[in-house]
Amino acid sequence: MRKWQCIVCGWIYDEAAGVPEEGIAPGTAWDDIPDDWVCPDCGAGKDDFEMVEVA
Amino acid sequence: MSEQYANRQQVQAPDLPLVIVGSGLAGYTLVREFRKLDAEHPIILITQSDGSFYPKPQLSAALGNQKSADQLVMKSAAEMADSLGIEIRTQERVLSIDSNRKCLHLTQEEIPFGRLVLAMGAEPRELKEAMNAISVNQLADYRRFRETLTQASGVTIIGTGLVGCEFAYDLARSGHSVRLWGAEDRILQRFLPEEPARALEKALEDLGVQISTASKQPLADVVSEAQTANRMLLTSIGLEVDKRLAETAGLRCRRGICVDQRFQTSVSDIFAIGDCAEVGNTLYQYIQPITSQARTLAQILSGTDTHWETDWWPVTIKLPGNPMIFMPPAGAQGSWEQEGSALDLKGVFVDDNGKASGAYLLGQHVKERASILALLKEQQTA
Ligand SMILES: Cc1cc2nc3c(=O)[nH]c(=O)nc-3n(C[C@H](O)[C@H](O)[C@H](O)COP(=O)(O)OP(=O)(O)OC[C@H]3O[C@@H](n4cnc5c(N)ncnc54)[C@H](O)[C@@H]3O)c2cc1C
Ligand SMILES: [Zn+2]
Repeated sequence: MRKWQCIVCGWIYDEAAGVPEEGIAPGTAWDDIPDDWVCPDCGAGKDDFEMVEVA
Repeated sequence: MSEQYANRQQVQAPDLPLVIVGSGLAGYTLVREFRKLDAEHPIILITQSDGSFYPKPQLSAALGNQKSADQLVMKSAAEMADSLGIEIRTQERVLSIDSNRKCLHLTQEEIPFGRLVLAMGAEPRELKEAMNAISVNQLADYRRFRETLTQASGVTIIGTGLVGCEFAYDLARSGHSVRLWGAEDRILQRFLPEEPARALEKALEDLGVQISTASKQPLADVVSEAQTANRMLLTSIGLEVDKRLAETAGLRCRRGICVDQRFQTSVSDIFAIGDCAEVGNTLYQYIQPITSQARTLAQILSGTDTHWETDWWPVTIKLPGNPMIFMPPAGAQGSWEQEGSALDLKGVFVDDNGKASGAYLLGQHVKERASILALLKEQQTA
């Protein structure tokens, strides 16, 4: 399980935790997140998802 | 948003560089977005900080997340310059702007610009009663905050807005003794009605935060008590745009630097976005509108005829229950329709015309974010 950080605002997506409040189940791999999903904090889109692996 | 400044000139790429003042979210997001559209045009970014790129909203959660100032840095200025193909001048303060000759003055140097973007942010308002208090609005402030914290017996926070409350939570969950004082009767008064505000107060009190207000204890007492007990004084009583630079350059200012929906100031070829910009009477000092402004301005600067429209920008507060606020109704008449209890609350503000025009979600209800956003958008256009 990995973590990804939105490079626009620093929000962290943790694959283990998912984002249950947005319908993304714990354990969802980054690649399996829908393409139209946006960063909950800053609205950055997934295609320009400039995320970096932090762990 | 009817103001339209200067003549809208054909935006062509002049040979002179695009110059950006400020290395915060606004400045860097603009560069990143502009580079997606134009890989070549020379860009110079000038900043009085060290130019590190860091996520500012994390400043008020970093202590509890056990992150030092250095660990918050995502990229250094050198890495940013390299990955974006721009020139960055760090530790350089822009002292004046000559809008006729189209150049900027630094301490030792003059920099000509084709177009200029001011993304200079805003400064924490100072408290007359406690001039040497700490405010955390930049990475360097956070460094100082961490250093001071090691010497202090506790922290007294002045100001019960978003940032003050977030620091109270972050410090309390990290085991510090916290007092939180606000001029208003309840925390987050500008954003939330009574019920959720009291629920959040209780959540903070359960973590040991002592909350008091002007009606119970005068500010002067709180300050002198903190000083005698060697407590750190942390103030967060709002931001103020430093307009001197813009005003001496002849740019029209009110609370911020006035711009139209194309981020054009009252002087052609000079633009402003982010915490320093006032777009049609409003300052948008949150990340979502700022990144949206940067995306739009990047398009405009690369030649697309477009403009920016405001939207609903939900703000998530880093407190128990993850409260999420959808633009509190500003001065509107109406009432709150609320449901839930404790930290699982939801409220929709219904104005006197029967339209939903603001909301908040807490705890379990945070899941309803998308549907609330859809409701607000639909009602706004209806
Ligand atoms: C503790 C904290 C928590 C926050 N949490 C949230 C949150 O959860 N959600 C949210 O939406 N928003 C949040 N915000 C607000 C959000 O972070 C800001 O609105 C945003 O980061 C502002 O970006 P900016 O680029 O406009 O300004 P800044 O980041 O302040 O950047 C301004 C830049 O201009 C430079 N500068 C200024 N004057 C000069 C000069 N004369 N010459 C050269 N350089 C100059 C500065 O050095 C700096 O690099 C928070 C803010 C704080 C302080
Ligand atoms: Zn983000």
